Amino acid sequence: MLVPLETLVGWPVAPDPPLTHVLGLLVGLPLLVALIITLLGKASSLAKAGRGSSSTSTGTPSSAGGATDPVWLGSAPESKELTEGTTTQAETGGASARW
Amino acid sequence: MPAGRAVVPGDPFSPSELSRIDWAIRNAETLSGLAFSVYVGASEADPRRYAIRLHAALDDPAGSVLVMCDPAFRALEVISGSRAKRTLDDIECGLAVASMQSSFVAGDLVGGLVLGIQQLGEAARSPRTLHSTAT
Repeated sequence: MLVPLETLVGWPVAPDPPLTHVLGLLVGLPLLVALIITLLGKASSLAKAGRGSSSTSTGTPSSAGGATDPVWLGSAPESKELTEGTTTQAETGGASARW
Repeated sequence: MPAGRAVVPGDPFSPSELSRIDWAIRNAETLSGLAFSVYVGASEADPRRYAIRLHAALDDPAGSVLVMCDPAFRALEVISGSRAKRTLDDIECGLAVASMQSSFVAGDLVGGLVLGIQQLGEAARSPRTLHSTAT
């Protein structure tokens, strides 16, 4: 044992556990727990990879809207066809950025 | 494409991500009284011009705010209509864009959109009138 234990007077001497049990407890069990935690941590990304969209929110945003159809949220225009509207740059406000 | 909270099939977002963005939009609309739209997809060579065209195609462009994100070209545009920009000026839009940009750089597209929309909604919040008409 790692810590020398003392058997109390009158108590039966406890048998030493086999080496396989000790290794299983000190090495096997921590490895198993670590494996489960790792799998749980990667479960969401693995699920997304299975759906073919592994990097929507985790990594390269370039694939989030690059090859797929555009996504509209909120109020969307009635028609997909865009024409040069009457709105000009002077009438609108806002901001731009690249990343 | 029908109006409303439409999502085109084949979109890259999971249902929970869509609901997060949708919640942020509804929250921003409630706070500000403006209509918020989010477009994530391909744009053109001039993203600003394309975003203005998208914005002009909305039902009420004057009272709408459009957030356009093109992940392929890494372009982000916020367009506010003529009525919307009375309560949401360009400086506030720029701050929200900077927040979104930071998240996008870190690879968090959804988090950036949610953060930016919330920020825009807060910035465009109509000030509560404290004057009393009673004399």
